[in-house]
Order: sequence, then structure tokens, then C-alpha cells
Amino acid sequence: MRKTLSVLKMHWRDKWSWLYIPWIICLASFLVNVIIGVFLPSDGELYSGGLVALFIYFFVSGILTPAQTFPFALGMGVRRKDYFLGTAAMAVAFSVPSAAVLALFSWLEQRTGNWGLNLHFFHLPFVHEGPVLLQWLTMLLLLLFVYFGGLLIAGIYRRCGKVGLLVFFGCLLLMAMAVPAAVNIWGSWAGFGQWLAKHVHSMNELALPLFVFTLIFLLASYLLFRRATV
Amino acid sequence: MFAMDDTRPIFLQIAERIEDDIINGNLPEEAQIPSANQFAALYRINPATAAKGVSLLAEEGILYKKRGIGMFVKSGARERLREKRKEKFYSQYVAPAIREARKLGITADELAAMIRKGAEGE
Amino acid sequence: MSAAVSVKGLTKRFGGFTAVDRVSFALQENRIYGLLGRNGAGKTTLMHLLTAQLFPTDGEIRVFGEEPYENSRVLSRICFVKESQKYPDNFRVADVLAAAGYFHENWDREYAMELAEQFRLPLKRRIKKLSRGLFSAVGVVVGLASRAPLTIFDEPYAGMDAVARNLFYKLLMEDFVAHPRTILLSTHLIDEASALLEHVLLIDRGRLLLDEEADAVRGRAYAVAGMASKVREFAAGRRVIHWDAFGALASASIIGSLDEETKAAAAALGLEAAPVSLQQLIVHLTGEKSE
Repeated sequence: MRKTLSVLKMHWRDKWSWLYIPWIICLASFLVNVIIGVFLPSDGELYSGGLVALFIYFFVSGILTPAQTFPFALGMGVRRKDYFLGTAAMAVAFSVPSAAVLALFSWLEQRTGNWGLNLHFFHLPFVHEGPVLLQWLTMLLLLLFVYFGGLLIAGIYRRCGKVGLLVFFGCLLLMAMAVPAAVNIWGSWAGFGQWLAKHVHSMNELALPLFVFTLIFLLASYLLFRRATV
Repeated sequence: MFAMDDTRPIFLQIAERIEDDIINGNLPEEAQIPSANQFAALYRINPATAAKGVSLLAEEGILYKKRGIGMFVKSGARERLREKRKEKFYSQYVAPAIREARKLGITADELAAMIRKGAEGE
Repeated sequence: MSAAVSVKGLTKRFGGFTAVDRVSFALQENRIYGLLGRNGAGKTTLMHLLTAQLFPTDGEIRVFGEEPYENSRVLSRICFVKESQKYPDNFRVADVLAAAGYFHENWDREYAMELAEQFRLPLKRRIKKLSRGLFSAVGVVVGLASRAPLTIFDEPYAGMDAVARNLFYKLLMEDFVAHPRTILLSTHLIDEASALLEHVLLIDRGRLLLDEEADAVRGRAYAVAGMASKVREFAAGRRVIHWDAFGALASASIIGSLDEETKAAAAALGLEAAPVSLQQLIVHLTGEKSE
């Protein structure tokens, strides 16, 4: 317990990476969109995908955190298990309030009538549906999904090297190519689309499968890091 | 500086330096010698090595230990060391001089005269 | 005294290359050990194995009586200062020292600050931006202030000038006397560090060549030099470990003690005789081409 806490404290010393930069990115992305909204008035609604920047950042963060801190921690005599738990705890400790902030701004966006600019940044259809609390949960799971996805990639690289990484992406590519094959089972793309539309109304429905994948990432990462060397 | 010779065991060199100090009177009998740690700090050597040099002298009866205080020079140590050195004197100093003299063609008498003159002169 | 570290038949292979080859030794508590050898001899690999950062291909490692892998009882009592330690990009010196404090039980913060001052470490500067010498100084400060029962230094003074290196030796000795612990120092600057070492382990091409008290190795060999024919005559029947020839002149390094008898024999043949230092002996032992 104490060791995990120590790893957490170690991560927390790098506030730039965990706190300042992601939110500066998010804020910058938001401001750009506000400026666009102010200076380029359009009749319709302005839907911005700028929020994706935050998620991409967390994904990359998941990949880079071990590169930065794993060799250092191992050099300091930290067990791989403690490193892993501490890093996972840090990710959760950040995702919870981050998701809360996202949910809060999503609510604010609705309340202020899209910032008076018809700007949809924090509250996007399909992604942010339902009560604020549910949005918070979904955002949290999405953040964890991308972070631990990144961590898994880092783990593959650490344990299996560049070759392992190539194999992994090769498999992903194969799976992606299998999708059209799977579509045939539904008869056609239209049929697939209809099935989706019937079962998936919002990101909230994807939350559970995302969570399952996140757990798989966590377990796989742990197993990989356990045998990683520096 | 006070660098130790890396070609001979260091603990022997420490023992020798202490012996030198006893012989030339810097460390009189019944005086306390510096601790092993002090030697280690001064000569930048491992304290265990310094301690080994000190205990070698203790084993030979040159030093003795006063519990809780430190190591002291035993009475009679100076004389005993002098005797020991005298025995080595021949092979260390005289024999090489004789060899060198022979090489240069200096006879035994000439060598003896040199020694007498030098010893009386200084 | 129980063994702090015990290694039996330790082997590490990277594909076809054997970095550590059936090495066995034991380190007693509270002594300073030197791990000597040429670059690429296997010193760094060995130290990574001891700290469970690499996994052995074969053999057994026990630190404080237990296996170090994923063992926090053992790992928290080790401090390993590497030549090429990686630090997080955004970390400043102060962050590294703070983190070291989180992970090492015996961390002495005040002492760390004193050391940082002695080495002139700028606490607020990023590690990335430090010169090589200051970078190494950070590692040295961590290694000393951790007061870890097993402290391992792997060529900790890369890039440090002679003043800083001497400071390191001085501080190491002082703190070792005040807070005894087991220290393993790997170095190729043998002559500088030699007097600090109580015991030396010499590794060459993955094999353990020497495992002895440093003092036992000093004075183990001597060298004679002069006319090649005379040297050959002298060397007959003796254990020669090194031979240098320069036309009509030659020198030979021989295992044996340079007592009065030997000196006289050398002088009789008109040869110069001198004892061989620890450093020279090691150079001879590791510089020869393979048989």
C-alpha cells in the first residue's frame, strides 16, 4: 500500500504532464472553437470534435508514462507490481475529476445555450446523453479506456520490443479487415447499421464493453510489465 | 600526497608507518595511537584495512588495547622494533650496496672506508 | 557475518552471447567491494541481475537471504546507482531527490541537501539540462543519502572531474564509517579507487577471474626488465603472465613475491625488478588474447 502511494507521489511530482498540459490543450482547443464561433457566424450549429484532443493526449500519455517513469522507478528499487498499481491508481485519480470537469462543462454548455454561439464542444450528441452523472461515468470509462490502451501498447513494446508491437498492430489490422466479413453475416452494411441504431443509442451503451476492454488491457499490461526489463 | 603504494598490501604499509613513528619517537611508549578510522580518513583507505594494520601490530605485541579507549604503544616496543629493523637492515640496505659496489669495481676496503667517513661526517 | 549477497552459477545469455558465465561469489555485510573489469566484461549485466532488473538465464541469486525478484523486503533495502539512469524528462533535481526519499527507507533528506551543496547541484534545474558531471553527481547523492544496506554504484562518476571524483571517494569513506553498509562499486578507474576497496571481484568476458582481498592481490606479481635474453633466462620456470618485447629489450610480469632472494637473482642478471600494482596486474589479467 505504502509503495503504491510512493509511486503515486512520484507521478504527482510531474504536474505538467498530468495536470497542466492536458487541460491547457483542452482549453486551447476550446478557445479556438470559441473564436471561430465568434468570428465566423453560421446559421447552423457548430459541432466541434476538439474534445478529442484531450482523449488523444491521454492515450499518448498512457504510452509515454512508462517510457518516462518505468526505468526510473525500477532503478529506484520499486517492484513492477507496485509501479503498475501506482500508475493505474494515478490514472484513475486523474480520470475521475477530469471526467467530472467534462460532465460539468457539458452541463454548463447546455445551460448557457451553447455558450451563445451555437457551439457544441463539451456536449455532443451521441457522446453526451442522459443525466450528468451518467455522462460523468461514461467520460470516466472512456478516459480509462484510452489511457490503459496506451499503457498496453507501452507494455507490449517494453516486453516484446518493436517486433511485438508490429505483431500487435498486424493483428489489429487483421481484425479490422474481418469486420467487412462480419458484416456479411448481417447481410449488408445497411443491416449492420440498423442493428447498431437499434442497440446503441449513445456512448453510454458502449461504456460497458469499453470497461470490459479496459479491464483486459489492465490485466494484459500487468502481465507484460511483470516480465519487462530495463 | 600520502598516497599508498598500490604494489604492496596496504595494511602492511599502515603497520610500517606506525612502526616508523614509534621508532623515531613520534609515538612514545604508552601513548595512544590514532584510531583506525582516523588513519583511513587521512590516507583515504578502507577503514577495515587500517584496522587490519593496527591489529597486526597488536598481535606482534607492539600495541595493546585499552577497552573502550583505544590502542596504545606497549612499553619495550621501541627496542623490539629497532631489533627487528636491524635484522632486515643487512638485506635491505647493505647487500644492495655491496652488489652495486662490486658492479662498479669498488673494493670491500674502499666501501668500508666510505661508510666510516660518511657515518662520522654526518 | 551473514552474506548480504550470494550468487551461485549465475548465467545470463542474450541470444548467442554469454554476458555472465557461471559466476559464483558471496558478499559479506558492511564491506566495500570493487567490481572490476573492462568495458563490456559483464559488470553492468551482473548488477542488473542482482537488482532483478534483468532475469537470469540460469543460476541462483540471493540478496539478504531472499530472491530479489518482485520482493519489496529486499528491493527497498537496495540502492542501485547506474551510469545511465533514466529520469523522467520533466523532473528537476529536487524532484529526483524527493522521489528517492519516497522509495528508500533510510533516506536522509538533510544529508542529501548537504551533499547537493557540496557537488553544486542546481536543485531547480531539469535533469535533462545538466552537464554529464552534474548528472552523475545526482546519482552519487542519491546513492549516498539513501543509506541503503546494499548500495551498488555502477561507474557512478562518468563525466565528473577529478575534484568531484575525489569528493565522492572522501564522502563515501566518511559515510561508510559513520553508517556501515555493504557497498559494491564497479569501476574501471582502478588506481583511483583501489585504496578504498577491501575486496575485489574481477570479471572478464563474463567469467569471474578474481575474488580476493585487495591486499592479497597487491604484491602478488612483479616485473623484470632488461636484455631480452636475460629476461628469458630469469623467467624460465616462473609463472609469467605478461610479456613485452621491444627488439633486444623485454619485460616480463611474473606471479610471485619480490623478496630479497628474487631481487638478488634479478640483479645478478642485470635486470631491473619492480613490484606490479593492483591496476597493472588486472590489466595484464584481462588484456591477454584468449588462449
